Amino acid sequence: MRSRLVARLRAFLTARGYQEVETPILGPHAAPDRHLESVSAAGGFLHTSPEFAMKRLLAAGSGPIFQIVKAFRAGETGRLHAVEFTIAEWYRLGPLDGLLTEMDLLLGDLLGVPPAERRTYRELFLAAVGADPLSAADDRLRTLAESHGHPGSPDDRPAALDFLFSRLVEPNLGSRVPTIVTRFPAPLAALARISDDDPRTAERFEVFWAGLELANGYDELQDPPEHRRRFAVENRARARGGRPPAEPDERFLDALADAGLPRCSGVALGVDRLVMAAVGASRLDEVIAFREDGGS
Amino acid sequence: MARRDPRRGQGADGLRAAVGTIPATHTPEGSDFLANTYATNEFRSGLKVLLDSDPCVLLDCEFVKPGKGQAFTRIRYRNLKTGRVLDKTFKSGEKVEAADVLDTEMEFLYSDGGEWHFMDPNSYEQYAAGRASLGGHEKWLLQGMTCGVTLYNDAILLIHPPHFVDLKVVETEPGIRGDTATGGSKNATLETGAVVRVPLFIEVDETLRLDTRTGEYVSRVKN
Repeated sequence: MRSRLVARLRAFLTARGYQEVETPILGPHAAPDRHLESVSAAGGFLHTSPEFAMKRLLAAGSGPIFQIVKAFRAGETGRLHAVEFTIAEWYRLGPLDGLLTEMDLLLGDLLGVPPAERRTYRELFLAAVGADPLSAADDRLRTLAESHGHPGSPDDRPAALDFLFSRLVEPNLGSRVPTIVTRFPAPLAALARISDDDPRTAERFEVFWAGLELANGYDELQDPPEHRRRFAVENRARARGGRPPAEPDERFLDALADAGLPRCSGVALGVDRLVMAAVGASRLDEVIAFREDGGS
Repeated sequence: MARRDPRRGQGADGLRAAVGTIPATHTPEGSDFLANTYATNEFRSGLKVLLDSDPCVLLDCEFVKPGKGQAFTRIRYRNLKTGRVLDKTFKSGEKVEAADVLDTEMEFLYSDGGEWHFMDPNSYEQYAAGRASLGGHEKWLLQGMTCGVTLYNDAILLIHPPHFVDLKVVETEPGIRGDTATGGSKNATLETGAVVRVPLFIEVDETLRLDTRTGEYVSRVKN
């Protein structure tokens, strides 16, 4: 099943003009995200996704590209998480809408599911939590997170939003048809561009189906100084959490500053979870041949 | 008596501690062996920990990490003192103190009315249990019976009688001959003082098998 799904995924992307690429798994930089820990190896780090290397290719004029590769995230071991997992990541030129339409076609093709519903983060959050994720005061969100079982107090606004969304919204997503959650709050933008029509939201989306978060994608941020600013924000959060800082990848930032990242949209899909969805598995273990991280 | 290592009997770490060897590899990331704590990445069902200052057993653990958000570990656990099952969420990397809880077996010796006395068949050490630890199961206890015992800080926390016990009837109304098929029942007093509902054909001095979980008659046992 895994082999058939991956073959279909590859065929789907290839038929749409994507070129398959390979980029290094081992590199000198750890992931800059506040909640990702890279695995150290051979004096460097294993990538947590091929994002930065693929964006360097895009800046060099590659055009649409995809990659299906192992990625590694230290400490992520559980029913739906493995330290070593398979990621499919692809980028197409142009704004997000084309990517979302294609994602919907892909899910239908691979999983035989009905067309996805698109919901904004805000409408889902409002309905399930009863607070506006874009305008509610930090204190209100903090109190809500605490009342729904957040251990201690959430560190900041993103932490409160993430907790409430995962606790109250996610369990109800993608049960009848896949749900594509769009327009994440700006504090959760990661490397997505801020929406043109609303500075409070970012052009980030996630795909949910069968109780699984399957994919996460962006209308990609292009602006080099804004990249530096966001990396600095992540590093401050890492410092608050007692984690080592992650040096930004200067080659990536140079590529953005020199050639520039073309307007493009990209998404990462969890291949192991895709296989789970296809076979109706409830644990990653059921679809991974040899689990070597002690997970269950 | 030497204080028990609370990790004893709880997987590989406990085994190493119990036999007194130094682990060949370092302890799992985040663990603090000397302080007897468990980090969330060591959580497993069956682990005994202190939560809300009570000894608890983990029933279910799940690693949760939304999107690019913070990682949490959600657990379902039973408070061993109250029996209540509760849910709790931890930030990944948080630590909880291990509870010095040990599940073992002991032989019931006698009751003096206020306390029930048990003996560890290996060390011959005696332990006394109060009524709260019996949870109503005192009525099944017969001298010499082997019971499951949960020790907490080397004192009896809970007594678990065998699921099935064989006890003799000391008092019941006379049996009704021939009525072995219909569903009638009557009370019978057993040698431990327990009173149970039994079929009408049961006689004094017969030995019965009882299910201690339901408190119900199961069958006659041939003497």
